[in-house]
Amino acid sequence: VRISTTTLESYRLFMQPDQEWMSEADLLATIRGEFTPTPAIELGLSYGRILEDPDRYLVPGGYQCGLYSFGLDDVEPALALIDRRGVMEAKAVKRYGPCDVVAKVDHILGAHLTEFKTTGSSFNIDKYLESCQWRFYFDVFEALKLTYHIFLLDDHENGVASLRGIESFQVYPYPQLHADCADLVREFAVYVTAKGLDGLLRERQQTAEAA
Amino acid sequence: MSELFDAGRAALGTISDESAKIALVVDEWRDAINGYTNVDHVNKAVKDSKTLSATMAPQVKTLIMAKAKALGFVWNPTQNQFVVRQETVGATA
Repeated sequence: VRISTTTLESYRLFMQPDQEWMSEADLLATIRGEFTPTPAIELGLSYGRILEDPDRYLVPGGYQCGLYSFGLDDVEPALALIDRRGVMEAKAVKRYGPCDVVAKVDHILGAHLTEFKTTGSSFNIDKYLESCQWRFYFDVFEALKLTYHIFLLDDHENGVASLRGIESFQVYPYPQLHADCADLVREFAVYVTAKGLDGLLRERQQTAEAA
Repeated sequence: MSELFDAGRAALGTISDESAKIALVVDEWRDAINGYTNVDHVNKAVKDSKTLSATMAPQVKTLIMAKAKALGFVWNPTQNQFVVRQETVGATA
């Protein structure tokens, strides 16, 4: 069974008590790969692509990617945080029992990982600290430190977005981290089997192995 | 309390040292990969990168993939190696 850390994070969020933001139908669609991005996700993807390859999206007076454009002042503070000696979008796979977990980190330099996130709402550090994604990144990449840069964006609903601020913080691995990751993968495997989706994920793994 | 801070500073120093060593090895790979001109170079690098650590391998593989793409090579899963992309003959005729 092949799973992405994004899918595992969706599952973890869905399993939180009293959560209301994700229906089971949405979770199952995510597992099946039927992903419909919201405007907030589209905005984050556009900003992320610009950070990855700014020259490609440079236009007079700013940057443009997909449906969104940004002024120079809304991108340059973010670009200044990225050490270009590092590797962007590095992917790695780690096996947990019968499951392969695929992790793709935004930036890696040495044993230092960096994740770039965007949010249209206020900054809430707990949302990131509780995530299983950084735990899997440490486990899969065997990294020593991870920095989150959270870009607070305002979407003015006219395709022009602006940067309100940047929040940065670090997380580090801890002794029980691998066990926490393995437990979540095991729970997820039981869930997808109960929902009859294990065959689909197995097929995905076979396709990936053949490629 | 000051001992605790010292221990924390020492731990962070070790992380930086370890990380710098890894970055140096990846940099050496980057220099070598920049010099690749043919598919044999790329395929040898794919083979050699398999021995790298879990931290280094994804970085080096990403650099190899980017170079292979820039040189017009595509992954052939049957041969389990990169091959030169075959242009469609007569496509512009």
